[in-house]
Amino acid sequence: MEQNWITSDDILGKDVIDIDGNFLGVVDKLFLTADTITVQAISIDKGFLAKGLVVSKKYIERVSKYAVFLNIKPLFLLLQKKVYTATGHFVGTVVDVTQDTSKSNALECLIVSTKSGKKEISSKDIDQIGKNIVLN
Amino acid sequence: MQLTTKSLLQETAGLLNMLKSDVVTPKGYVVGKVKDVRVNDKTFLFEGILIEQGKFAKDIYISKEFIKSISADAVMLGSEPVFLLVGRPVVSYEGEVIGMVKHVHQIENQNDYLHLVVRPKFLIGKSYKIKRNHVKSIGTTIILKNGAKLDNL
Repeated sequence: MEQNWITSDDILGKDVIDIDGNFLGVVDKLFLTADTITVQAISIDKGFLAKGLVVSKKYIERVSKYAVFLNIKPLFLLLQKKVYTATGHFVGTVVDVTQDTSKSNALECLIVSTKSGKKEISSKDIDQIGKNIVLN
Repeated sequence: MQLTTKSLLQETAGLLNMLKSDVVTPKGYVVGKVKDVRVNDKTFLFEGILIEQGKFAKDIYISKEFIKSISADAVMLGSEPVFLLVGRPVVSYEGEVIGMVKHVHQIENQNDYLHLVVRPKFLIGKSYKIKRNHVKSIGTTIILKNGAKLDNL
């Protein structure tokens, strides 16, 4: 057997950590192509009642002894984040995100719930994403 | 002697407006509210702000060098303060949670640190000291580099 081979047991049940260090859940499935039997993606169980998530293998940075590290931050983590302007004015809370269909996991715009209703904010207007979101 | 200068009045901001406004980091973390504005008693120049973090947390003084902008809504900081690392989980390169940051040994008058003191998981055993150059990335959790050394305290 090849030295760098691992088995499904080495991945299933492991924690999944994104590029920002967030624990997303545990690996519960592997997706393989039927003809070549190569792994294409992993499925993440985010816990009781939470919707699962499938992550393509191109977003997997490495599989370590205790966890699977991703090289991205999934867009769903932007939900419920607060949005502030560059001067610190509170705009609202993220209720939805739209994806750039030409690139996977690329943000197109945020749907923010404000006092005056829902508002779309383009990804170009975002300065920093961290604990919350700060605009340009 | 000129008592009032119109242009200067327009170029300055009322410090009292700052009181009770939020203090926000570049990544949108609300550190607390401005409790006091500190002015040099000899030069009368603005020196910094005192931040109230809540009933049970210590007030923090932030010097004007770390303030990016002041508006009616909030005081925006120029960088993420290192004291915000306290309480964050620390994860080894292999993905194992090894503990939580208990203390940040900060370099005096700088927003930088020498090492982190980490409380072990389940509070079993002694705390560790982790040098700054052994930290791979800082986000929601702190991920260590491969082969990072944990010095027992």
